[in-house]
Amino acid sequence: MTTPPRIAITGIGCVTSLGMNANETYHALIQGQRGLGRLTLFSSGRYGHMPVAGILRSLEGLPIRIRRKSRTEQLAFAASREALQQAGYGDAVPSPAGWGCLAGTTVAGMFSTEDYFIQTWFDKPSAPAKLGHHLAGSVSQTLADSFGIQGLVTTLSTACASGVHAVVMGAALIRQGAARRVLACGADSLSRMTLNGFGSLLIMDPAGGRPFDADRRGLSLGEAAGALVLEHEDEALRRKARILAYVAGGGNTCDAYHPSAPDPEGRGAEAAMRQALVEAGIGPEKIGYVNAHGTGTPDNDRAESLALARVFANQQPLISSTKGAIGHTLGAAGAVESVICVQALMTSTLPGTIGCSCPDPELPVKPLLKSQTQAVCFTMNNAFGFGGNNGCAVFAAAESAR
Amino acid sequence: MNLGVYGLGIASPAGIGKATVIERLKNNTAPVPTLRSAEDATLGLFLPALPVPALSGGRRMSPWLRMALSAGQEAVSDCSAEQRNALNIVSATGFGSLKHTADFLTNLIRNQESEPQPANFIFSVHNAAATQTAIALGSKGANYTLSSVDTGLEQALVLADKLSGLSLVLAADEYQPLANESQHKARYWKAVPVDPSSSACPGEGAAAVLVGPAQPGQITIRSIRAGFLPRKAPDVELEQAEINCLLAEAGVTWRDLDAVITNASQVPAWDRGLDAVWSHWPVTTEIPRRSYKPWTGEFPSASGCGLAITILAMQMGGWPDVHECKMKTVLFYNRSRFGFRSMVVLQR
Repeated sequence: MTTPPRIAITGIGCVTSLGMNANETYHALIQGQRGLGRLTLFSSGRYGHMPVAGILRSLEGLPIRIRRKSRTEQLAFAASREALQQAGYGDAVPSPAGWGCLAGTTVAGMFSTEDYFIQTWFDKPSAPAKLGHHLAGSVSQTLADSFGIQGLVTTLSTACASGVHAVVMGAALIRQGAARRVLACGADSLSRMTLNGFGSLLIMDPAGGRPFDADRRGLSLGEAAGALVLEHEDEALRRKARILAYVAGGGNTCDAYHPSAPDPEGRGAEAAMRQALVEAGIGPEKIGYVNAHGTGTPDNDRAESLALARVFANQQPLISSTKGAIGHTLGAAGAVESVICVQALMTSTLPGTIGCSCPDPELPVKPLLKSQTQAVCFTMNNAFGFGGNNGCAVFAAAESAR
Repeated sequence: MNLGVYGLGIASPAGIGKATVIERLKNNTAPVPTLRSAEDATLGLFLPALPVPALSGGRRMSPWLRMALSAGQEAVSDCSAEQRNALNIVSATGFGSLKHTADFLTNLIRNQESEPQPANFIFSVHNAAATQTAIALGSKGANYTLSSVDTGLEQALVLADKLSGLSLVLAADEYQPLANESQHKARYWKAVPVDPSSSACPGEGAAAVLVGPAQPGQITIRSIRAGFLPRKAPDVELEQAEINCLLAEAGVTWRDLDAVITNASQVPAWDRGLDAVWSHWPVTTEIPRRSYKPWTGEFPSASGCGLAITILAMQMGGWPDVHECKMKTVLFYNRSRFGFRSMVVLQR
């Protein structure tokens, strides 16, 4: 039996409310900054008081053809370009047929769709192209068009698990020979639909997201994009690329429980984590840090804590949620937090749980409150979505960092 | 690749359920005239025959969700409870549930955010079809949803091939007046000749294929490609090499092919790339080449329904108007004007 190839990560990129690139974001996270503020992208009479993690800095540095796309596509492009540049690729990838592109998104061009609706409702001339942005598939299509990727190009839309599913499936495609390299990305912009939708479910916290806190009342919405360049290790070594980390394993399960609520026992989440550990070929004791889904909603944090407690038993690693700092960025979350897991491996500095000041004593896991310096060999990223979609990825440090 | 087809379900203009579709294929009664009524913006072409799903919120579910559930449940009808429990689900869609999205946004604008509707929000997410199917079947395996403007089911098959065990691969899209109106404004349909025999009219539908490791006696998916090409004139030689490579992977040659089923729409502007590839390939003149579009109409998941209809035609042993065709080895080929290309070699 042949050993499956290792999946090297050679580039990372992200755009969040804390920074316009991966380093800026991570530095701010480690400093304990909170990227929540007033909603400025659009107005909302009912939920305008809810703090959000909006990207306030200009996206104007993007090429004109990208600025005509939806906001989500713009964010995806910015993060992907950074990741490709770090990996040593320019604006067009070599051997495009060997590249896959998996983008994760939940709302895609919903912000443009809303404009179309508003203009149609008030009988104003509406640009039909705006509805074209509604297609979630347009995110990966725009990236493939921009960077010349010609292999499997698709957009994963598994709600808030989309980003991590793009990473996990991207690694699987390489591992099983369907691609040599994959651009895995997750992106979502703020929209009226999600603000009102989550508002209608009564799961937004007026004080800002406080994951694992005793007084938590819900999440804070955000917008972001994260991207990773995944390569067959042989390809990375052949071109002498710097390997930042490895995707060691992944898990994907479904709760099959409820259209929006998680399984209260967290059984699907637990199964996804166990799958990822098995694929990585390690026991739970090897995991040094977990970037939890940790939305700050009472139900999610309770279910995830129960799952984490069962998986790690009495060997609990350091666990934090970064959603109190960068918001819940939906389809982007799994990709952005995968980038954070890679940075944790590279820098030996782990981010704390911004927003949590008094951990819930009823939860069986204790979150890391402030950033901490500690070398770790393996990190884990959880992302769970509406409908019971569960995703988990395990990352391993590059040899040089061990 | 060697994926066996264990089950199939369909809810489309060609019929709801395999039996109806096979009957129509046998009688060569293409459903296009029915579809034309879609132009008058009526919703729910198939709903009268689709049961209300026995799920929470079933009555409020959009045609998209009902079609997907109907096709999915038909495809797994022979599965044991144990198989359903471990089932992976990979679903594909272009627009997802436009109805729930449109209803939520319309209400938002009309009522100025005063009466938000959580059910429409929950069912508007693209993964609702895959996760509702998982809830209906109790399936706790891997669960993916992908979105693509074209060739979604073929992309989903590529992902399903990376999973172990049985996978239910779904593709669904619903007709929505809003999208149609937008397409009219964008002069999307203006390219379509006013010709009753043309298949280029709006459609909707869902297809589901249950796949797993191939076993003797099954229709098998021997090789597959799903890619994205630059939107310019195709490099015909490169494409021929790709097709040859695909056939070689399947262990067949051109001579073994009994039919080629394509996405030809009969709209010259849309078929330019497809025509260029085939006009440079003389051997294909001897192989029956047919389009599935008269059986599906135009919508993002049309290729999924086309593939399901092709599998049914293979089970039946012939394509409607090609009686001498044995349909034992078939090349299913899509080249869309949006840049997506898929190729599948199927064998009976």
